Amino acid sequence: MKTTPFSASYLQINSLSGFGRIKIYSKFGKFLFLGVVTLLFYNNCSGYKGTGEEGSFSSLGGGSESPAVFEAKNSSVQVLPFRQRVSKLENLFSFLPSSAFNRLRANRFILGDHDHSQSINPSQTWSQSVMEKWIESIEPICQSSEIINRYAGDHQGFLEVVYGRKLSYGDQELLQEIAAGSGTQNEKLFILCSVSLSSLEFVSESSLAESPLVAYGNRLANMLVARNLSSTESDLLENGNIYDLRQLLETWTADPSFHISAKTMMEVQLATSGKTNEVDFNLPGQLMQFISREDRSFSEVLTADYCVDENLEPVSCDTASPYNAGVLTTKAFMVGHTGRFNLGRAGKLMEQFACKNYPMDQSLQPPIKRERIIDMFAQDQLDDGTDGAFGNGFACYTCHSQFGAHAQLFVKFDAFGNYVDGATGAQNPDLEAGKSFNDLFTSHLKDSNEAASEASQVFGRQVANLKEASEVIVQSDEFWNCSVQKSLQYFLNLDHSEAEHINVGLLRDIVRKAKTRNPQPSLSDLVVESLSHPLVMLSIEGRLQ
Amino acid sequence: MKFEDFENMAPNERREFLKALSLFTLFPFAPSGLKEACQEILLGKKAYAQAAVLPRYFIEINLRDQFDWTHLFVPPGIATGNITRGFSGDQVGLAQSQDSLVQAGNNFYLPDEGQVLRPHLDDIAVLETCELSVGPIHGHEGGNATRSPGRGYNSGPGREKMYLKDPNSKLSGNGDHYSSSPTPANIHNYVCKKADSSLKNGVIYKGISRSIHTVYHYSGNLAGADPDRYQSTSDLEKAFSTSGNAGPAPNYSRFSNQITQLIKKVDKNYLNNFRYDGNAHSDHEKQLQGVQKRLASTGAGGLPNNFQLALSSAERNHWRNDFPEMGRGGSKAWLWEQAGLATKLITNDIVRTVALEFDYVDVHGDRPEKLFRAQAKQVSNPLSKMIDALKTAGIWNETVIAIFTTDGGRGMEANSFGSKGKNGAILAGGQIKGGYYGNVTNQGTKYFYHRPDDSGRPVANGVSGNNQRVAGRDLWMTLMQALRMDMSLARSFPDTKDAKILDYMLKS
Repeated sequence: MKTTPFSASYLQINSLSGFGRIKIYSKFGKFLFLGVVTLLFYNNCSGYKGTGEEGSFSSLGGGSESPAVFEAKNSSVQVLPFRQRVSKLENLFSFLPSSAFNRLRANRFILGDHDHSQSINPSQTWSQSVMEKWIESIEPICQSSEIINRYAGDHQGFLEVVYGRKLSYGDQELLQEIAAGSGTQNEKLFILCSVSLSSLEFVSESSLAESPLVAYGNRLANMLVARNLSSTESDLLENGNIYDLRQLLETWTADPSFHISAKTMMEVQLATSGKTNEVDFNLPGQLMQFISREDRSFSEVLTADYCVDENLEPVSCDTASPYNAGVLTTKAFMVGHTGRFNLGRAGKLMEQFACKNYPMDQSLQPPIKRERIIDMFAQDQLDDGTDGAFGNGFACYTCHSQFGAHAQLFVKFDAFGNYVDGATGAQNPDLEAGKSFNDLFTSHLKDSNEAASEASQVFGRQVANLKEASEVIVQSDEFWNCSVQKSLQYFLNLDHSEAEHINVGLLRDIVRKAKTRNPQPSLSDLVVESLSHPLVMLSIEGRLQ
Repeated sequence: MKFEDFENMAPNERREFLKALSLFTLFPFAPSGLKEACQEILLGKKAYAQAAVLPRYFIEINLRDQFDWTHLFVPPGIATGNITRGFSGDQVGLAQSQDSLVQAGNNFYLPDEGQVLRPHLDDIAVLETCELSVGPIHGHEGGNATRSPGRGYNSGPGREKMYLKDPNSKLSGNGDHYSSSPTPANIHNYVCKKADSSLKNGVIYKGISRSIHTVYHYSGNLAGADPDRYQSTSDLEKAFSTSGNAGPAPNYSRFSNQITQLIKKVDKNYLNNFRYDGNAHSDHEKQLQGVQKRLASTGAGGLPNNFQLALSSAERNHWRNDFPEMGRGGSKAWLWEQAGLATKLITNDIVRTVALEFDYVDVHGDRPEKLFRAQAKQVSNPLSKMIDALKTAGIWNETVIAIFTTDGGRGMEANSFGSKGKNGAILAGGQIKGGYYGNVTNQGTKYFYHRPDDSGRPVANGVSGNNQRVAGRDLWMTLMQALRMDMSLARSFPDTKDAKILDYMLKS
């Protein structure tokens, strides 16, 4: 784990005097960077500092005088997602034939790629087997004639390209050590190539650039567009400020590589990717890529009345439902989260698009009345009359009175994702609890008419079906806050726990800014406002050091 | 024998030789001078004060979705008590009449699904009354106190996130747990590699079928302890196959030493710059050492000639026979296939540490008869075949299998929601003292769980809650002892230092 002389504690700074500590650890440039960011923050926020209103400075949770930001620290060595790593190589060596990357593709699952249709989760662990396979897999790149022709006489140039920054003393030492070793020039280039492309700096998003703004920019470039900063971009940030960064973010979020990153983000977060004979699990990711490319409102992930094929052309969706609701009405979502009582589908809907787990605040999701719920979920007490705590199997009603409302929206979708108009939501007495007839799932509701109906209540509003439910969700603050949280999680490479602890006041502030920019913010709007937010930069810069 | 001769041995021969030497050093009447000579070879040119004895082979099986073993081993009190059998509500989920159960000694009462284990019962210990799971949803978790004592929601010095290396798409089904205690396969892998640096890294098969669930394999502060994780059968098979290794050494192999040494140097600067602590440094360096060795391997790469891990058609038929392919666990690999691969790795002495993961599908509320029967047979069928194979290979006394209900268990009731009733493990091995330890009794449809006392007999007063349970750390420490681990290391963690060894589960 990383020791954090001030990253973790820094993130808990509750007074301006805390910034004094930065002086102790920071180089002058970093201090200057933090100072500039802080000043910008105060400048931007002074209008609503300390008002106590929602989205105000004090509502960020750090007390009345300084911001509390989210915890973002390295707790073990994690590298870029596999696809970012490979795209980075492809972007870097675009002059190589595609076959040079075949070995990487062949070993993709050991190297961390995902395919949810095969139950393979993404992994960003940099372990022994991954390192070994990575070094093996880049061999065709490192011994390609194209690389040799270009760089055999210019090792320094090669290293600058790989790291996307000016070389340091340590880099020069590496070059000297290789030059002093035995072997031909080509062999030395092979060693340099294998070492640099397998080094943590290359495979992770953190850069050793001297300038904090360059380092931060490089991190974002890696995650957003799968490459290092170009020399022009690097120069711009080296001598520039936060506004230059915003300008770069605007450019990057219009780049095709960003739309691919957006696709991967949705795949990873929704756990839908790959293809089987029956189900195209790529549909949700492709929809995200299309929405990003077209710069449409991010809300269309839940409200789009179309799906998108692999050529990014709109097509009809595959569940045969009479309506569409973005990624939800795809077999990918339905099959990927299938399960008894439709709990998996309901749970993922809330977790992914509202960042809520059950039980949630009843003022957000009013519970279904106990008398309307089937007996197994109406119970909330132990046999001896005491209340059951959540999680021990007795506090059923607490969660299921909310679960049930969301699960009801899926009552007409069978286990294979097909819409079945005649679904009843009734329990099949011959099957386990939660399974209805014809591969459908049981409703939480007692009344047979209610059980058979898709109509339900979401966030306190009556809806006729999943489409209307989606429209309610995207109008909620929870959706937009959650969208920012999820994009920060992915593009800053935060783990679940770090993301869940992002201060809600910060999320609100970002959403407010994004909506000022565009009343129906696109992913680009969210990302630009998020990643150029002073508090986000402060959090990450704390981690960078 | 000169040390150089030993160094020149093929990895397989070396391990065989080391194994023999290790056993010899344990022989109580071996002359001390000879022991020291053996240790000198075992440990290098200079013998250390403490003998680096290889732990036993270890196969860790993690079952998720709160597996229930009612139809495998019926607790004595339930086998003989006045119960109501059935598959709804508070009935005991037992299809067979009590008088049809086979009383097999050592408190074992076997339903049909358990019969296949009868020949091995002297070497199988079952303990289901450990402290309960604490996952946020119905107790589901990726850790379990029996695997990582002290795991919980609090971070602190030395207590790191358990979940970072075992990704899942939804943390709430696994628990955002912290711990300082390593999980069994990881500490075992660490000790094995420390004792014999020529050993191949251990293996974890990430077999859980659903993206939302996982099993945590956690190393704590043990540098280089992580076994290799494989997410698909084909990748695992590729990694342990000699095919394709023929021909001239590739460049990464020729220059493996320079490449890894330079990466070490470059990464050290990176880790320093981002202020990773000493453990992250040493862990990375250990991993790189392993990388160097593996890249340097050419030809068979330490594998026997023409070794193919992939199961042959005959092997597949053998392992698959009579295994109920029910539930969802087969979307990656059924447990029969995982067990076959693990056994092949162990009996061929390819690795010493294998961890497997398998799930059924999460069923709460009334559980049908077919579920009880399937979950029981999905364990008994591969377990019996593994034991047979390990006995045939002559390494049963040198092997321990631990099967955990990793995300907790269920109560005796058919309608059980998890995080109540049972939580525990099956230990099997030549050094394990067979028996069903603890008990479950009932008064009507209320069930009481009796932990074993220090002699292994169930205590008189059972409980329905989580008090008076066997501490997870005690089972963990007992497993460490069974594995012949470095016990000073095993006791070096804050949550294990006071653990008891449950002697009743071990042969003397």
